This record gives sequence, structure tokens and C-alpha cells, in this order.
Amino acid sequence: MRDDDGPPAGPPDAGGPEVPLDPPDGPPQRCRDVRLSLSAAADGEDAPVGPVERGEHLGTCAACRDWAARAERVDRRVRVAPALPVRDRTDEVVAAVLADGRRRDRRPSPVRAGLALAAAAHLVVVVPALVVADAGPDVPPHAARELGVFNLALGVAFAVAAYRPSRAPGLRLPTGVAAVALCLLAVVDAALGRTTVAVELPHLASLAGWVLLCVLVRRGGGDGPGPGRVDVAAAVPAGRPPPGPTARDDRDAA
Amino acid sequence: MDDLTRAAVAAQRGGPAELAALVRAGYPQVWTLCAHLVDPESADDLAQESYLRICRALPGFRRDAPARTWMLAIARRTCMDELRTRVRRRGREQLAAAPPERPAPVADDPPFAVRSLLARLEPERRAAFALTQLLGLGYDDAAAVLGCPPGTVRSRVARARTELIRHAGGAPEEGHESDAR
Repeated sequence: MRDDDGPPAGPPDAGGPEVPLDPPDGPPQRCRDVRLSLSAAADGEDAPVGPVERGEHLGTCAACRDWAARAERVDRRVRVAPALPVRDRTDEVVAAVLADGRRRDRRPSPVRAGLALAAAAHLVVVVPALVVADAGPDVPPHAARELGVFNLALGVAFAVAAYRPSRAPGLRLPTGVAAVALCLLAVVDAALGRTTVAVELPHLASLAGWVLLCVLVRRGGGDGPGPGRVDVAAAVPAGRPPPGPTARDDRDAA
Repeated sequence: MDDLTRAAVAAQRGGPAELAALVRAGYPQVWTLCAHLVDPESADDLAQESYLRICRALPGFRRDAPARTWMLAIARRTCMDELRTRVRRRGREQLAAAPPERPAPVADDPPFAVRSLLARLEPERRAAFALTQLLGLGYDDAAAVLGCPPGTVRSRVARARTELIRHAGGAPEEGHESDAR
């Protein structure tokens, strides 16, 4: 692989101001290429300049011979340097991770509040339909109860997800089927004149609940014994660590 | 699938025991990277913070990727954030604590100053050098950690070597070189 380290006429590296291998008045291009290749070869990696050409150049260039000798010495020093002693902090780290997961699961969020609201909206529909068997003038009593059960299930699902975000992933598919199908059928039947938009509007609460649930899943949800399952997005791009008790807080003063 | 990746997959669904196994398997490397990218005094905190981020991201970990580069990439970002914070803080406090233009050559003591040598490298080079020379990653893996092409790793490592030669150059060496910069 001989990618982007060709002639450093421009900065060869992505990001960060790279200073050339040597000062501007430093070695000519060929020397830089050879040193780059010596370095790569020392690590057993592909080198742009092959061993024969490197040897030829070293035969004629004292500066590169010197570089090679010094680089070898630096490498040796790095190799023989004792590794830094790592303390076993498994228990502390595990405790911190678990505490982090719990803290994040307790943290209120607009998404969870919205889910709770969607749950409440469904349960409001349930009470009259299930208990009084009344879901409007055109709905037979037993159909009203069945409608009630349907909304009860959706409402409970949203409530569970709001209360325990870690359970949201498993609820995404069934609530999605219900919410999306409800809305599609509402549109179709409204178009066919079998129902009116006004009557079907409450289904938007199902759709909204499902969307919020998906948002929650995307951010991860988390609690319980497993590692915290929150904020996949926050961990991947460079973001500041969330405020909270970490080992640093304990020792920062020191 | 390597052991660390297996541990990561197990921890995705497991409880504290699986999590502890993942910590035990990956902590030394994460800690070592933090120690070299920032400093050993901060490495405990940074490695722990890295693990918090690793575990938050764990649900999104795809098992077809090696966990090692994935975890080290998160650790590296944690360190970069810390370095950025320090730079900001230093700026705020108006401490003219910029590193001296020409640091004194490093002593050749036995506990040796590989670390203080490395500390003089510019962060991107230090990361490339530490990953390939101290953690033993190949250029491809290091590139995955750093999020850059392998060729960039190659030139960063070469530049790091040149810089190290320069920094170590002040110490008297075996003496068959004429040009001590």
C-alpha cells in the first residue's frame, strides 16, 4: 500500500499541521522517502522504497546512514524500556460503569417524558373503551373492548419503555407494526370515506410514541446489571464526558 | 474472533461478570495508551472514563470489527478530549505555560525517559508511535484506531522517529555520528 505519503509538496497528512520530516533546509526528497521506508521496514510494513534501492541510497548518503543508525538506537531504547506498571483496577472500573449506567437510566429526558405522555394518551382511550365498552356511537360494545385492549397494550409498552429505557429495543418492532399499520389504514379508510380524519387523529399518538421509542433505542437505553446502554452517539464522536462522579472528582483536588 | 472481541460480545448481553472480563482483558492496553497519550498520573482516570464511553457505546458494537481497535479508538478520543480541555484551561488561566521551545535533551537514565521522550512528540505522532511501537499494532490497525489511512500512520511514525532522534540527540551516544543536531 503506497498511499498518501508521496512527495510532500503539500502536507501529506490529513488533519493537523504536519511539519516535514526535517526542517525546510533539511534533506532532499529522496532522503525523506528513504527514511520513511526505513521506518516502515523496521516495523515490517510496506515501504515505498524497496530494500535494494534503500541500500543503494545508504551507500551514497552519509546523512541517511546516520539517520538509520540513530533510528535503530531509538528503537532499541523504546524496546528495552520497561513497560509502565498497570494497576489492576477491574473492580473500580466495573463499579464506575455500573454506576454510570444507573445514573443515565435515572436521568430524565424529554424523550422519556414524551413516551410517558404517549402512554397516558393511550390509557385515556382505554378507560372508557374497556370499562364502559363504549368507543363511540358506531362501535359495538365488544369491539370497543377489543379496541381498549389494543390501546392498553400499546400504552403499557410505551410506559415500560419510558420507565426502563433498556427494554425499549424489544418493544420497537411490535409497537412499530401497530402504529404504522394504524396510520396507514387510517389514511386509506379516510380516503375511501369509511372514516374521518378527525376520528382517526388520535392514532398520531401511537405514531408519536413509536417514533420516540425509536429515538430512545438509537440513543441506547440502559439500566440493570449490564453495562449502561445509553448514548451510543455520545461515545463515538468526540464529546465531553458527561458530568458526574468519576475517579477524577475524587482526586482532582490532590 | 479474538478473545477481546469475544469478551466485548459477551459483555453486550451479559452482566457484571462479563463486564469485569471485558475490563480485565482490555484495561492494560487502554491504560497504556492513555498513559502515553496524556500522562501516567492521569491514566487511571482516563482509562476509567474510556471504559465508561466504551460501555455506553457497547450496544452499537458490531462483532465483525475487532474490539481492540474499537476500544483503543474510544480511549484515544477520550485522551484527545482531555488534552483539548487542558489546552483550553491553560488558555483561560493565562498561564504562559507553553512548553519551552527547545526542551533540554533527555537524560539517559535507566528508568529512561522513553516516556519523557515521547511526551515531546506532537500528539498525532505520539499516538501513531505509541500504538505501533508500544502496543504492537500493525499500521492497518493503528490506522483504524486513528481514523486515518495506513499511509498516514507510516509517515507519522517516520516523523516521530526523526523527532525522537533529534530529542535524544543531545545525549552522548556511541559516537560514530558527526552531525549531532
